[in-house]
Amino acid sequence: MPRHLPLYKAIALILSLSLVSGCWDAREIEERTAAVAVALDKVGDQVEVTVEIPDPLKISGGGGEGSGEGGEEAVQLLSGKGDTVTDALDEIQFKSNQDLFLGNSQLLLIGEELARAGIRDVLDSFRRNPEIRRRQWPVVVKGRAKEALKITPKLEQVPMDYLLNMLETGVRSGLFLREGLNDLYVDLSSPGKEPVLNLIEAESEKAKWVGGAVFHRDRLVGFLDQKETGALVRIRQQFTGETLNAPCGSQSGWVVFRPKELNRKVKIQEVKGRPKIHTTLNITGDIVEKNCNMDFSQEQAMKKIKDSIKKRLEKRAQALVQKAQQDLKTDIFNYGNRIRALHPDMWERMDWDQVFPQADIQISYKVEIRRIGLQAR
Amino acid sequence: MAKDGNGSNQAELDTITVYQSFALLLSTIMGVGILGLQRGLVKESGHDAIWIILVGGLLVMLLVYIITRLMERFPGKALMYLGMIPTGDDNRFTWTKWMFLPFLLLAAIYFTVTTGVVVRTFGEVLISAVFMKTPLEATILSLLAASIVVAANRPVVIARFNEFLLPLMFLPVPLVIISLVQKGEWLNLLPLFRLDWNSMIKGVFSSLFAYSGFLVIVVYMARYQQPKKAVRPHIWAVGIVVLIYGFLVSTAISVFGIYEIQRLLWPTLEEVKVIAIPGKIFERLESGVLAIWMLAVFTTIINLIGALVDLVVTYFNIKETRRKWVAWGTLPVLYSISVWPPNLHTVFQWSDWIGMYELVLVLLFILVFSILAGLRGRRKGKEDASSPSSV
Repeated sequence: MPRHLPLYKAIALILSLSLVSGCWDAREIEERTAAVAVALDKVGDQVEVTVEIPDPLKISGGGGEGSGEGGEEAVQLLSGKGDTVTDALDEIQFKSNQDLFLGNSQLLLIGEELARAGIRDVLDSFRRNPEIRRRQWPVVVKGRAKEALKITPKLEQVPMDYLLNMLETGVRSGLFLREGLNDLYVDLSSPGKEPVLNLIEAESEKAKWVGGAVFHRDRLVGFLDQKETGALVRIRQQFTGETLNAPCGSQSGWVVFRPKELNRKVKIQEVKGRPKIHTTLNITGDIVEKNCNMDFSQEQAMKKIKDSIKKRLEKRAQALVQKAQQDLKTDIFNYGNRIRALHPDMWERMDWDQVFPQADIQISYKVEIRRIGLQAR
Repeated sequence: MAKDGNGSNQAELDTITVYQSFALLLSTIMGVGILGLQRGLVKESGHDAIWIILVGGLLVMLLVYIITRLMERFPGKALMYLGMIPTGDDNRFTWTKWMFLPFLLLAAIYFTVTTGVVVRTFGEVLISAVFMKTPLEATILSLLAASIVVAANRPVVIARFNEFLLPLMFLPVPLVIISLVQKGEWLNLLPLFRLDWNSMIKGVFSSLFAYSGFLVIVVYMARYQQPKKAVRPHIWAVGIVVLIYGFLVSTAISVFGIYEIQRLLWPTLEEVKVIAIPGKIFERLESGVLAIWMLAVFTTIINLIGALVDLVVTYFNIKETRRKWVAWGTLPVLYSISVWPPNLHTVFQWSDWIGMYELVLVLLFILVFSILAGLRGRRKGKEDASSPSSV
């Protein structure tokens, strides 16, 4: 039995359908100025925001006559200054032909000066804006963040892509710090966690990863170099870190060890009101280079090398611990979080900021060599 | 009900089946809670929110069990038929009908305000997360209008609608699991059991707001095909909601930690934002999740409005053909309530009050139904010696 849709129902249906689709917010992609990277700097008392906007016509594959141009040619940088981030973004809006859209941004560059002054207030507007992804990389730039967007890499057309690929490759290989925007937010709001961001330095044609930027609460307090960051990623996030040169025992020359697997065990005790934290890292890897005449087929030599690597790793780790406790006075290893979770009574009794520099922190390695490459000895 | 039904077959088609009653209760409870229940809970109970939500759920389960068991004794008679129970006369208009008007009013107020709050909350979610330039009025009106189109039907149609949409509601759950796998940290879940008794009880009460909506059964149970078999689907429905909520709370805590959650307006939504599907096939999954969970909110709104309409239509003995007009008549009322609160903060406060109000109402109805059951028991006791003891 065919039934007709009553008129009022049809009207209601059409009305609600047209409203549900959200026409008010319909903005076509070509009506948007999509920023792919945002740089934040402090200039005097003001915030300077710089956005990188790629020009699709100038990027090869996008067609158009000027295809294949690279670097600054393919992108436009727009900057704005203001007392607040929103002020600065408004100023950028006044300079751009379409609505500024930050939802495609994958890189958040933070200038050194701004980082030292504290990033919480600057990040607030990003936290409120639903366009901003939680999956993007916040990175500290030595000097001005804007400079990092001005690089003209030959390998990528959009400088942001270059930086982003560099970071993602580094994180995937277990070398860089895995600290995305979401992690940064979480670290900033959780007691017992401190953010350590990747640090890059801009040169004319390229950018370089130079280590880590240590934050205490939301303020930048110091830098770690590449070697120190290598030690940090092992302890902090169970990454393998970079290769390591170890002396060939008594002979001159080096053996190069490339870690492949790592796991961590942390033991926390309270000794005389002072936390005692013992971290054991089991590290497994290969020998990739040797420039001394040591014979690996001998059990004795292998043991010597393992000892040598272990000593070297532990020395680095101890130096890092010392730097964290004495210079930075910041718990870069996030031990505080572990105490909060596993020893809540201890955590409630103490002020971790005060206690951390006095804590007894020991780090020991267990080294295992699996392979020595295609050479038999 | 079923006045136009001819024959028992038609009457059977006009009633809610056991599975439909399960779907109905489950979809009513699962509403806007899925998007943001974690924040309030964690604020109140810290890390212990994980088991507080379970305890709160068990409490709700107990209440649902008691009220279902009581209403089982009056098959086909729900809240709006209360007046007929003491006289035992099914069709005669008596003064007892008016005696129960206040209870109906209390329930009607509950359905109205809850609908308003749910609509407003979801309107705010949509505006703050997706449609930033769309006016609130447009979002709310379209939500309400679309819901009323469904809610203007007989309860059995509403139940079928719920039955049809139920499986879709579980679609986003795998995404939450992915976020747990990619970003979860078990250290964030600890330490547990740090609450004292006082704050534990407070926490359990505050968790009740997440389960609000279960009161609709006092209306819909009148339409059940087998009211005697209602306990099982009801317990299952509440149980599954408890599991889903417990799961959502624990994943959110493990991904964000309790400190970050308190700063997030819609933790579940942010959780979906965190994940990355390898290959970058889908980015920005939160819009998709919102679109799917819009159904969850729709069913909640529909069931609440449907209960309200059915209450009015049945109580005042309004003709079935007029049901539509009653339904559309609620639109201005619901609309004004949903735009009433000036900001989201007030909305959250209202929803806390609703949770409390619902608890009071349920306890009141339990009392009323047990008194009625007692009265009937005594009358029966006079008739035959073996009298069922009242609760």
